[in-house]
Amino acid sequence: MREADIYAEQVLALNAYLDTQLTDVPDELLHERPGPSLNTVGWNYWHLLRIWDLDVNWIARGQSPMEDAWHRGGFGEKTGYDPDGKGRNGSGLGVGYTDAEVDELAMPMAVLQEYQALLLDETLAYLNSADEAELRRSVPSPIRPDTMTSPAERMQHLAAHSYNHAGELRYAKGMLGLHDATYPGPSK
Amino acid sequence: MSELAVLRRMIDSTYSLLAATVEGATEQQFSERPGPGLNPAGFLYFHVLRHWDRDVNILCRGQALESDAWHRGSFGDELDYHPLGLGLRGLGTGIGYTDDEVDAVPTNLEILNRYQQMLYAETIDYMDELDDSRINEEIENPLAPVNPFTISARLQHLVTHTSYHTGDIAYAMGAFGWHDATRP
Repeated sequence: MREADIYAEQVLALNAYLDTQLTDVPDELLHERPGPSLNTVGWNYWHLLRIWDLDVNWIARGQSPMEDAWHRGGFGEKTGYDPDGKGRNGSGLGVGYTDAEVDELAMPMAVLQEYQALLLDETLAYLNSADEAELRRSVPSPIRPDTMTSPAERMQHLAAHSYNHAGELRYAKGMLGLHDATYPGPSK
Repeated sequence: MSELAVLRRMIDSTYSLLAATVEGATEQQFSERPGPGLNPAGFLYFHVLRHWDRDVNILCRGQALESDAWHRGSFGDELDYHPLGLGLRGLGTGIGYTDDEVDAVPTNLEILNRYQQMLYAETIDYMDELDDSRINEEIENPLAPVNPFTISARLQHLVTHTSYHTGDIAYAMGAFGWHDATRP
């Protein structure tokens, strides 16, 4: 199996997992905090998509932050939310946000799902053309310029980071009273 | 990079993130429920590790339920807790537990951490014996004969299952003021 195909399989599985976890979250609970300073389901979802954009478009494809899927897809206009300049290094990825900045997110599920679909399409297209040399290519990290990384490392990070935040949003769902439909429930 | 090498790197990262997440957790953060019916971080840690044991030792290596790392490492004796017979199909992995059964799981961070270290060491030793051809052979599932699997699929499951439950653990501890030291 080509290395790129391994990552494509992982991204497809991740995409399906996110669909399953988010399908039962109504818009009225998407941005509700389960407790003080606990991040919302919607914030976790948005943040993992922004990091997905970082890994694939900023780093692997070498696009500028203003050319990533969020910007090309017009999601700032669709949601009325402009992340540019916010958070760590003004990267607008959700990292280093204050509670007040987290609370600014109020975008509907349908737009986030559209963002996810665009990222999936672009990631699969990239991986379809990525050979071993491309995946091994050494590139500087745009958020840690003194650190070198590679597209392969970013694909691995994409999966691990996304599942980690999927776990957080799952727990937030539980605190909001939404039961995990994939869980079998008590055996007795 | 081979498929096996990719999985090895991802298991390394998964192991490190899980260990870093629980390191330094307070008793309250690790053992208390954030609310009724919400699993405590310690239970989630136990569950992640029991599933890791199931993926690698029961399914991939074909060991008996009584011969997995939990039993060979005598963790049940140390904790005076014996999970076989509990939960889904009596596998004692935490799936299908009632609230009472969740509450009965000992949340001893130091002992569970040693269980994690043993599982990781055994997994790496086992992966050193494998190659890409071997990990894609179909294997009969002793726990569910209608669902054959490949070693590749179980190792991939180990990564994804551990990753999202590590997020669960972080969130549960966050309800008690835990802050992720790896985040700015």
